[in-house]
Amino acid sequence: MSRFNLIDEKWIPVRYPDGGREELGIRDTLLRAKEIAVIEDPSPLVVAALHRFLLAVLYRALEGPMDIDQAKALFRTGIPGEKVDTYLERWRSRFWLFDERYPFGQNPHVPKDEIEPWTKLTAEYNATTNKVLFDHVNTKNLGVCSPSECARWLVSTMNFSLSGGRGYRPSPSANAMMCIPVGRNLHETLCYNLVWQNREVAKSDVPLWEREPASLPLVSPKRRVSGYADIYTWPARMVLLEETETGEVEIVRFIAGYGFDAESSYTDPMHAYRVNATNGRQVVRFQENRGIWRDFDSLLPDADGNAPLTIQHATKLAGKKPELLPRFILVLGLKNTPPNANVDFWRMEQFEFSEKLAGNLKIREDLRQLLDDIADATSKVLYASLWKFYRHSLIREERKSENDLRKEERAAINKMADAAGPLQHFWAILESAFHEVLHEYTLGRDPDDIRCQWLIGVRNTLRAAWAQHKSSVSTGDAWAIRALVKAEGPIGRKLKELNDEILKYQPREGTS
Amino acid sequence: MSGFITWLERQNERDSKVRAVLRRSLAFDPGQHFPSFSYVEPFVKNEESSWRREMHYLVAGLWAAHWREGLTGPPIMLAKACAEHQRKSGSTSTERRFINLLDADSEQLPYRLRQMIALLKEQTIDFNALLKDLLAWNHERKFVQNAWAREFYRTLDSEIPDQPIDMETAE
Repeated sequence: MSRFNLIDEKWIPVRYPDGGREELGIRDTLLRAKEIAVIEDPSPLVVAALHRFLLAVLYRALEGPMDIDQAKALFRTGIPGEKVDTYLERWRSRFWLFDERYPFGQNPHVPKDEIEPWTKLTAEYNATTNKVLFDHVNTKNLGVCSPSECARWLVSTMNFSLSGGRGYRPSPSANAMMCIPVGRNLHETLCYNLVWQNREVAKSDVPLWEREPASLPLVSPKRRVSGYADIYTWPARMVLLEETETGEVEIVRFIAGYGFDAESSYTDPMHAYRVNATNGRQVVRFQENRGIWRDFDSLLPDADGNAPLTIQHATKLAGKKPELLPRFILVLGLKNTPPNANVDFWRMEQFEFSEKLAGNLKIREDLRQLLDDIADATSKVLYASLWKFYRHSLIREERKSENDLRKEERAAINKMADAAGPLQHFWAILESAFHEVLHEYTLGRDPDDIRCQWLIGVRNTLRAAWAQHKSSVSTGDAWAIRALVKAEGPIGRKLKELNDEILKYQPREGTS
Repeated sequence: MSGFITWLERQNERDSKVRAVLRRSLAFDPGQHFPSFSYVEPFVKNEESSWRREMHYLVAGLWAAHWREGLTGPPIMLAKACAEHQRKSGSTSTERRFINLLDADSEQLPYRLRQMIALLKEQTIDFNALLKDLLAWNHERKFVQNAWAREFYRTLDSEIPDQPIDMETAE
């Protein structure tokens, strides 16, 4: 018997402007979007996946937008409730979570012997193969999962499934930063992110619930991406929930789903891109030991269209009215190291978004210079000095050249340098300085003044980071002192270089 | 303090036994060789710190042991002299002795300094600066040891900055 229809049942967690929280079905979420502040869940992956799922529903219900004018009209007048209702009623039979023929987001043909615990649906919990530090789920006694939770995890698997053994392939967009502009309410948020597609693409862009469940095993385990609704509801796994007598879920049937054809030419609207001299246009991914703010420039519009399409689209919707710009940008997602199936980490941060940042195409390049040419270059010098310090600490004899270091010596030095506190200290201090820089741009301050301020901040931070390292070492034994002195050279040269650059911006005393 | 070596030089001009007596004092703990009292005590008679007294006696003994007729040239810091010696000899043993010296505690210091000064017989040492540094040898921040290390390695590698990094300012 069919049970738990996602159109009406409560499973999408929302927060209202007064702070109240509730779970709603698809219909209420979309039709009451102007009353809702945000979608909110402890899991960044669920937050991203729910936005993408709702957008997929809208693409099909509204049969568009197919150009910027249609998008602007939607933004101004609101989501047409009748169209949403008509669509949901037409496809009601495909939104039952438990159903014999068309269980939502699942495949009824998954063999009975392909059993996994319910935690296999999630990246955040321990399961048979993926292990998560600090998760206290007992894999031998998992308990049960409610239907609403299962529904959230199902949409999450569509977007965040990773590669692994046994033919498991990743979702198309799993391993990159996703950027979601957020408005004053959910209606604005959905409109900002409902990037238009042309008529031809829109016609063939079919989400998961409108397709017949694939026969298993899959004849062709890869297929092409057909459009945004398709990417947002990608069947990277074939799943079938097994309902208990109490209406909950303890185990699921679970096997590999579709991989995406690498020849597919698609751009995920939520992705940011950078142009790399060697590799060309690359999607921006999370990196370990690197806060999102260090890639903030990649979120901003530029002349080449490398900013996320969602942000470009939001800027166009606002037009000349700064009050219609997004309040902030959510940047969220996960990082893993293929082919390892474990998640390295997941993140969610938000950044304020102002008219000055959105409207000036030059600011992206300015910020890139501040972040890459100045801060990153300085951090490399700090790292080089720390490396030298550990090299001379661990290996006391001189070698003809650094290339004479043995592999295991180099590995030991790398490990110590990578874990060195001063580098983390350097970036921690600079992060708050960076937010001040963004604020200065918002105030419309002179870019040369901002650059000078940043140079001074970076110089002082380098000095402070090295002083921190020195104070922990200089009272040590003579070998440590020796290593410190031998390592200081690059720091001294970099400080001089930064000082020389600062002097170009600071007026000489006594001159008019 | 800066007059101490001048004081010893003047005594040396007046009395040929000065250097011999002070040299022999190195066989005793600093300040424990009675014959050397008459040459050093007038300079430290009001000194209450035992470390300061001992370092005056030690430097006096080292000065005497190092003194050579005809040794000319501007006096240089001990650390720089060690580096010059390493460079000329081409051997890394000087560096190891130097590191050993930096690590010396108050008991080990006199012996290791004697060994080092004995190596540097061809160089003019700035004993005034040496005394000043030894008086601060036991500081918990190890300023002297850090400064000596910087001087030593900078003499061997000019790319090493001559000032500690946190002393630089541009504002």
